[in-house]
Amino acid sequence: MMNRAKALLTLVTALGAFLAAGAAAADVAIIVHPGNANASLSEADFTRIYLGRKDTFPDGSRAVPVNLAADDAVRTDMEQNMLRKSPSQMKAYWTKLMFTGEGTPPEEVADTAAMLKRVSSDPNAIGYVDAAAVTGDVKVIAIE
Amino acid sequence: MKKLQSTTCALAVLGMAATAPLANAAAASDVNLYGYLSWRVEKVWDEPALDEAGETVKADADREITLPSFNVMLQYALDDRFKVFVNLDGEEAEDVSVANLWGEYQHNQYLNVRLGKTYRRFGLYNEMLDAVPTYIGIEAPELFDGDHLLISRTTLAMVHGWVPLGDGELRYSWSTDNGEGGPNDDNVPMGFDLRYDWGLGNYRVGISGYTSNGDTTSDVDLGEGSPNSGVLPWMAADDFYIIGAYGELNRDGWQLQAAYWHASHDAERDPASVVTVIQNAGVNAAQLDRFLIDPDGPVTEANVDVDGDYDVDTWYLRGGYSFMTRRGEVVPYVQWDYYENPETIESKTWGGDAEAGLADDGEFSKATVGVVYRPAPDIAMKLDASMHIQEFNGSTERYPEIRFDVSYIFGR
Repeated sequence: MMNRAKALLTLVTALGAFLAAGAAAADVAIIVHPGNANASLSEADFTRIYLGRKDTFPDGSRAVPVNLAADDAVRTDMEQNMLRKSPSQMKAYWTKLMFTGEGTPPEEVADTAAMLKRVSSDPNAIGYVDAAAVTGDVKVIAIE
Repeated sequence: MKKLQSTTCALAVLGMAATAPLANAAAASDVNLYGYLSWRVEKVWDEPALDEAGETVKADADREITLPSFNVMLQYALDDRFKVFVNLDGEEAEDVSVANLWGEYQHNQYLNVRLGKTYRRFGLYNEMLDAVPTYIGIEAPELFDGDHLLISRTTLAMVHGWVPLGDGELRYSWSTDNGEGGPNDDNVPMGFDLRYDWGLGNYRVGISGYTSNGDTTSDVDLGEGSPNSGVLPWMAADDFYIIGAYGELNRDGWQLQAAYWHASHDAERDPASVVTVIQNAGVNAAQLDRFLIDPDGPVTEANVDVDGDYDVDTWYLRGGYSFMTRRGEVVPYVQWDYYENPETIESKTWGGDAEAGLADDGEFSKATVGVVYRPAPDIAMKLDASMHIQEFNGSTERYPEIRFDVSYIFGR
């Protein structure tokens, strides 16, 4: 009986570890132009900027959000973990705003390299990449 | 002619904006052209009517298959502060009208000024009825059913903005326009909406209201169909207001909505129009009782009760649950709509409403179950079935309706 219990416990632990590994998301770094004076951004403001509800940084300068391609895993991670919306919910959200004239979704770039290039060349841009891909051409901004 | 001119004007704006990226490549991302196509079929069974002996008979309505409808929209940001929006509505591919044509100056988050033809901010649905591929359900809530509108959908000037408040955002809008159909030189109609969004926009509560701010008249002449506003065409004057509240929750795949609206009309009937309606449109006993001082007396202008005060009440509950499958998103939903308008009549030709006007007491309920299937985010297939419930000829009658709608979103 004890052996069965141990085996069951081992199985549950292994399953838990497997699920946890599967659920682990990539570390997403929020990036801005090196000349951007803002050191941090509240999670609410980040969300508002990416949902088209706000277009300025805390210091009042213009914020231009940039997205990775719709099928990019880092974008999916960012939307699910920070904006709390699935790709389908994001599509519905932006469609409603577009159909009412209230806004348009952020500009899209093809991949991480394009994102780094776009953000490093625009003082108003804000974007995100896998933390491992950050270079010295951009500045990582803290989300609080 | 006016409609043709405005459509031509809108097409010209679309054309100019569409060529703008060619002239200025840097501005290409500021022009967005998009829209949707929609096709629908619907069928009603066992709709009650009266035969010559005054007995209830039931008949199936003809199946209605619509030609594809389309909405083409364009947003053009001239700079950081000024943008233009155009929405052309091609109903059943036959008749193109300008649903929206406005420019907006964005001073800051607190103050935005919009001028032109624009859907007023009013409850959850008015601004997004053209976004039919995105919401659950096929038909609009009764508040915005084209046969018995409580209020015109568009306005001409709107100020709006928002302020952060707690965990969310408090959003306001105030609007005014020329009022309804009659001369309103001394009236300043006003509409407002105040809503609080929180939880990253997943929760919303709000109130909306409108006042004609004086007497007005219908925007259609008698015999020219149902009005595009809240004033019935047999009224000589109508001073009315509307107030309502709404709420929405989106969480863990659930979407729940509720709204209640009340319209109060301080109205005066036009005796000649009422006589015309009674003689041509066919009215039931309750309607005759309202229209005439002595319902058993002659149908003459002298016998018309000119006091036409009445109230309209409507509410709805809507709920759906979204879940993803390997073949796309599936959203089963249920809805319950209630509407009460004792003043309206059945004949749409004479300005009435075939639902509330058919009922003995102007009341009906509609229970709906349905499902949305989105094999891809840009495609929505909806199938739903409704049961209409109302009093007719002294007994409770129910009749079913089935609808199927396919829509496709195009452009960016």
